[in-house]
Amino acid sequence: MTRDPIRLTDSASTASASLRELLRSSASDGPTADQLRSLAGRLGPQLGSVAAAPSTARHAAGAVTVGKVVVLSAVIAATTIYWAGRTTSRPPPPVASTAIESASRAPTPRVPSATPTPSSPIDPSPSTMATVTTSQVVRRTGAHPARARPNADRIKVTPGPDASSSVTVAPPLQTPDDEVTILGKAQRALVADDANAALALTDRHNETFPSGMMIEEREAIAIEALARLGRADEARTRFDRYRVRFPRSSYRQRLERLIAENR
Amino acid sequence: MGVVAATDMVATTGIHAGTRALSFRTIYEHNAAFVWRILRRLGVKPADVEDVCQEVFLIVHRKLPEFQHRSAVQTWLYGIALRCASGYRRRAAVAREVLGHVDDSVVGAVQVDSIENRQARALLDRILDDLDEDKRAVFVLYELEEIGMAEVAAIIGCPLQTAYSRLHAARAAVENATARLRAKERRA
Repeated sequence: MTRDPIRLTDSASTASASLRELLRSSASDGPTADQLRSLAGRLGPQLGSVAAAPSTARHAAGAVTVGKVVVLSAVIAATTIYWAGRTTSRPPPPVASTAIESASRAPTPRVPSATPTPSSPIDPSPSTMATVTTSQVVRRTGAHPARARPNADRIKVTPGPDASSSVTVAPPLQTPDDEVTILGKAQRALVADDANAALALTDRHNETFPSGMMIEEREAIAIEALARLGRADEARTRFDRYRVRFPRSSYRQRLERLIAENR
Repeated sequence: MGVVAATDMVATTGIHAGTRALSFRTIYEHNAAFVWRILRRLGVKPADVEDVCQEVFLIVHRKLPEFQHRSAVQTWLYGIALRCASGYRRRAAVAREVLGHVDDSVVGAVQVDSIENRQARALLDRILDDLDEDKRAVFVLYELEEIGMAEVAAIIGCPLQTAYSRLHAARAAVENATARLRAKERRA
């Protein structure tokens, strides 16, 4: 069996003092206690603390989103499929909505500064351009007036195969983030005991992303919101559908408890 | 490093009837700092580590019912963290192309590193950023996380000899880059 080489941080290694110093600087890479608390706050629902936790400002700010990052690693792959699908005859998914006012009181989830978008939507190459109808573009830009201009800059009107003109447009920058953002706001609203807002946001997600990547999370939030609102029958009905659709969901046990408590 | 002890094994019901599985909370409590650290060392910038760390644990939470215990929990976590860090780096590279320079020097206000240490850490980041993904992973896991090469190879999913080759190449690249950057600093 080959013996592992002496590590560079070991004084017996051949590494230069300069390199050893650099490597030692990584000793501070771990999180601080505050950072761990913040992370735990974000993961409150998964750690099982949301239901029992008071609706403190910390939780409201910390428990960002079930959805915000659950798909970030999958965003590139999913978006590739997503946009590949747009080049076919599939209808393009609708765009995200604006925030619901009551949920928008909470701070906007922090988006990684270096990871604002997946790769494909901002690739300006023609191969990634998708064709959509004029009305869809209007709907998109209308839904996102603040963000319309960057995409509008790339819109090229081309003759369509039928009477209506078609528009070739780069995929919007915001789609995956918006799906995540909506559910992030819904999650925060739930944490802040604003179940009405949480439910409204899940409805909005349902309208905007009927085939979204985070339906499992959306439904879990919606069921919990319904239960908190005392709409036990609706919660139970929705949960019945949920457990059929997501039989192996990690949220299932918690939702089962919630439904049982609200009988 | 948060190795989950056998005593921390807890039975879950419903998901793994008749089997023993780790609770998500246990995995989180024992490995949060470790995942944070490995992400940082795999190129996730300080300002983004919390986001990516959350991403890792949400995936863990989601995939936990499927975790078969064929590998150690940490090996499994490494795999997820590596993929998340890789995705992060790809997205960050695209963001840099589109948005221009992204300020990578953002450091959380709570960090109290000395200026010198911050400078050294920033320099290490630059050096590691120049490694390709495969070499970086082996280098970080072996040199910084101090994991044995056999386990590193298992985590990366490559033959042991390949892992050694990557380590050798990474070491040479890191040593050369260090010398070059230090010399540049002295000239400046």
